[in-house]
Amino acid sequence: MTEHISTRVKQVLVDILDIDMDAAEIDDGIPLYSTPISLDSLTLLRLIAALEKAFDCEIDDEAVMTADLVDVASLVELVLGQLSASLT
Amino acid sequence: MTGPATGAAPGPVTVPTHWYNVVAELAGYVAEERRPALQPGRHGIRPQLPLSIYRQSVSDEPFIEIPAAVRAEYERWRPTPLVRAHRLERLLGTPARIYYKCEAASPSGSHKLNSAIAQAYYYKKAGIRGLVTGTGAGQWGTALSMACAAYDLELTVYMVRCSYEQKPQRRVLMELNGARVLPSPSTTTEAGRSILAADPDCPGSLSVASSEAHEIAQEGDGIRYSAGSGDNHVLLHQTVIGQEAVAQMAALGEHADTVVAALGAGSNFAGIAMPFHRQSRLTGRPTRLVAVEPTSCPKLTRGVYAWDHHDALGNTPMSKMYTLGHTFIPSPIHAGGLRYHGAAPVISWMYREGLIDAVACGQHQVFEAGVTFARAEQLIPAPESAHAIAHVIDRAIRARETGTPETILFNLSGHGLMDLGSYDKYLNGLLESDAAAEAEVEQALSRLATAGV
Repeated sequence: MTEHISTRVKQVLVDILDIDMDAAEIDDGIPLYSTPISLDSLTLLRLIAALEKAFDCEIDDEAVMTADLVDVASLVELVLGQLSASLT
Repeated sequence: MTGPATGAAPGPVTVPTHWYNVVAELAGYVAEERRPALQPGRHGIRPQLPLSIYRQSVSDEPFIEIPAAVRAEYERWRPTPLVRAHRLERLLGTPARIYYKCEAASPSGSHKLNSAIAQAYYYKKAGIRGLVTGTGAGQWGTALSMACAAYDLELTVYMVRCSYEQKPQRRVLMELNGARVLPSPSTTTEAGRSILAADPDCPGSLSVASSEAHEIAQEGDGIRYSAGSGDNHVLLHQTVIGQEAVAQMAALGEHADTVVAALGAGSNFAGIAMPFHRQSRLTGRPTRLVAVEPTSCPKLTRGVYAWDHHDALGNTPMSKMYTLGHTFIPSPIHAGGLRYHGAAPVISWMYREGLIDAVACGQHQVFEAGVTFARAEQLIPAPESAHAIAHVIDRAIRARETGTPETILFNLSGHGLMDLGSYDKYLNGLLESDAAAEAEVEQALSRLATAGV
């Protein structure tokens, strides 16, 4: 399940940011703020809004503000955390 | 049809339950940004906006619900009065009917509180400890200081240096609300130090103050940047003004032929104008929307439509906007506020599409209008609002000369009780001429041309 979510997160990332890579090539450890991803604070929010749509969930404002979003793995963690919270 | 003897519109008109999102209904408008090469701060990437606010700014819903807690705050002073300026009309001998929406009635003295209180609500909900911001003449800093006091948020305000010096009571008002106020450019940031190294006498600008505030927000733990104008969500929050005014005018049986408001980055103009734009579209009855800017900072009337940054150092994303260049610093002799190099992207697009008009007024004309209004209506307008009044008076005189009645509504965006120093200069003939400020605009335009913009 985690792997499935991770793959979907990476697909959204590739699609939204128009990255010339296959989602399968996106390593968990790739930093979010250097190439090829190169997020800034606004595109991060754009990406998270897209993840909400993709996973049909609403991510908590505070969860986004307090998350230590540094690499792809941390983005996956954010989505996983939100999906778990919505099940409880 | 007139209102009661006081000129104030009869009730009941209630506080709107939703903000109006003009972006959702502008056919052909696409919000785009270009991302700068940004070095992450020591905390990595810091989303500056709560996700709730971001969703508002990109929503394709035309109406976005105002949270109950925010609406309850609005109800402390809203709806603001819609007032017929009978005495001004008589003074001008005009057949025009002049109304103003009195945002000066807010606790902070201006329309800025409409977004400040909403933003403070969302930032608090997002678990943020405090905010940092830039302010020009001080209206935004004042409003945000009140909102932060209401929501127990810390606040640091970088205030444009020349305004900090010209309006000391503004600093006191913000500090009274618990804010820390610093003149910008300051030595507390790398951005400020670099500006001062190049020009130790730099009078400051809103884009410089924004650069400093952004830098602090990137490095501070639990601190985020809050914008007072220009961004879509700020324009959205301000539409309570125009929505109320549409209802108030309808209750009087009036149709606004023209809606006028001053233009800094665009929050007060969008606030009153966008609901009337919607009404025109739905009813087919046109309403002319006129933005009034200072001749010392004329981005719509003389700027270029180009990609540009929102801050002086170029650390923020670029938007397509009418701009004088993000490094442009308005003359310190300009006492009338509205010191921002660019117009909000959506307003810029609407101007380019011919959906809004723009005019520019010099500061002597502005202060003359402010004094005329104050003496006629016993309400001292903020110099920013007086830009709108200057154009309203022009229109009213034209109506008298042509014998053509016109119904004009303008946004009295704030009172001028903290701007008496500037009025004092005007009354004593000490207000500097506009010529020097206009020379600086020429230089700014020349720099843009050289840069191939």
